Amino acid sequence: MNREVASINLQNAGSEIIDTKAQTEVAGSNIIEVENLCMYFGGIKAVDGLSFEVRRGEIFGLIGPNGAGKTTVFNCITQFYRPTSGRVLYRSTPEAEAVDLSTVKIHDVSTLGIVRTFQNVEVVPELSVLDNLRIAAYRSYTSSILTQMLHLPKLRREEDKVTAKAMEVLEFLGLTLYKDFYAHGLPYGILKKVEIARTLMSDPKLIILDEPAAGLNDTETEELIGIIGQIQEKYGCTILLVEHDMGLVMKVCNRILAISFGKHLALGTPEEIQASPEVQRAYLGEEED
Amino acid sequence: MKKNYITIAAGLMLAALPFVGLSSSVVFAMGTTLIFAVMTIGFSFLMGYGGLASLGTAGFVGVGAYIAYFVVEVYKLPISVAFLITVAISLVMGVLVGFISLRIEGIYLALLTLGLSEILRNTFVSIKATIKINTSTLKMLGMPVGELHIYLLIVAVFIVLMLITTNLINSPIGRALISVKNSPSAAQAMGISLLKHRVLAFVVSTVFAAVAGLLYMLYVRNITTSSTQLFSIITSLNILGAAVIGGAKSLWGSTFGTFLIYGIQSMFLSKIKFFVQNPAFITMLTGVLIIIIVMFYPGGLAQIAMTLKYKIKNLSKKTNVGGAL
Repeated sequence: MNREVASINLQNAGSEIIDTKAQTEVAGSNIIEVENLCMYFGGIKAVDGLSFEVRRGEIFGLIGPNGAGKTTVFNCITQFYRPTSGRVLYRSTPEAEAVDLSTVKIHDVSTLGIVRTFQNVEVVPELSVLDNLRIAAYRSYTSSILTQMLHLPKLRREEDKVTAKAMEVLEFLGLTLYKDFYAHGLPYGILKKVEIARTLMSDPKLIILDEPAAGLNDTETEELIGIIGQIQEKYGCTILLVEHDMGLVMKVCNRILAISFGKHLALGTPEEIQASPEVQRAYLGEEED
Repeated sequence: MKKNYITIAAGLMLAALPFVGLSSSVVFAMGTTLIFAVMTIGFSFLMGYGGLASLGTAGFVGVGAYIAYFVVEVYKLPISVAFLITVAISLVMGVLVGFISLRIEGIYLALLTLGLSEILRNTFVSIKATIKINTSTLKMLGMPVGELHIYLLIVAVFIVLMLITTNLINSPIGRALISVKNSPSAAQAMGISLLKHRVLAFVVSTVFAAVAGLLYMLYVRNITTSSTQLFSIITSLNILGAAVIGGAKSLWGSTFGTFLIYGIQSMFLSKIKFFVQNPAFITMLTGVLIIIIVMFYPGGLAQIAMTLKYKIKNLSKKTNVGGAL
């Protein structure tokens, strides 16, 4: 419905993209606010003055040609990079105070409810699939090092709780069969799923998926689309994703931001983005006449 | 849990060795080998689980030995005090090296720890070239302590440290360490601090090495630092070799590796005339063993054992493993 309205508006406004920013400005309705983000590597401006916000509960897609700076934006949000300038504000709940993520240590980002996957799957090969999920809940353990050295009953209780949760997530993603397999040597499609399963272990508010469909075949991509929808439904979290597979992006995303050379190109619904001449130019090149 | 009972049973068997009629020289060789096994356990934890390479083991062994000498012989304090001081000082040193390991990795870290170890060794030589504990000064709970008591102490320490390390490996901390080793970025994204876990890995290996040094001093009682290989790179390399041969991810595997390198040498090879005349051939033997293991069984002897276990299990069950998929 919304999409239809939007496309009618689009026609009315010619090829102009509607400024979605002005539509909602209620404090706390945005989970992430990126303000004038810049990330320079020497002379290369990977991200150059980018601003956007992600609304709570939506599936937000970030697209752009190769080298547009999509992953760099993700790395700036999760603090793998410290931005050159600009800031990223995060509100875990609508009522919560906004946190400037640059004041948060990289290994504390996950405790705020922001979890991510990686472009090239980063699963721990020397651990079983179940253990891969259990380390994702690492910060939920309160057992001291002494308790762990002596394997006191408290650790046992915590382990049981985490294992039960992990089994639930594995069941949800249909990975139960693989729980005792070492991650090393498992098919790529399974590893991608394990990585997504891992993000669900720490009660996420915002899941950041870096090219979830890369390296998947058509059937697996189709399955992934289903999974992303189910995750949003079941866990009620916001999803932010970078993807090259336009079919997937157009199907799952509520809103899409297109960037090129680190700069804002267009923001809007999938239809708006598809119709945007700027986006077409960035992907297909300038028309010569 | 089952693993822990096996460890305790193995400990009781080791403790029974002096009482079943073995010659005192064999028991002594066993005791020293167990001391080296303590170092190897700590090192395996660092390398197999922390993914960090260190060639500084020998230096920390020296720290333990010199603390034992000064506390027990010079200041005439009880062994327990020496033990506490050793743990405290080596803990601080482990934390320092752990901090360094966040910035320097791989071969550079190995070189740095090697340098540190050599600095320590030279410091020891200039402090006192020969350290010696008199038999009469060694007392525990007011009772005179003989070689047999120290042997039992070694077995006890070995088993306790083995249990602690096994528990740590099978805890969230152990899994966190492996993820730091395999994929630092994934570990950080999951909320695991690299610094904390690397420091922990170094603290464990440093404390274990220093405790081993303390035990060695109490057991052997006479070390000439300038001429012994104990505090030199040879020890660090042998421990590395033991962990590689046995399999750094298996504590019992690397303990077995220690027996291959130190136990066989002191129990059998030292009695063969050829090896007594040409001690370099023993080192060569170790080298050949390492090459063979690294080439064919990168997981060490533990990998061979696991493969055998798996095959035997399959034979007895006659189940098709591929069918599980």
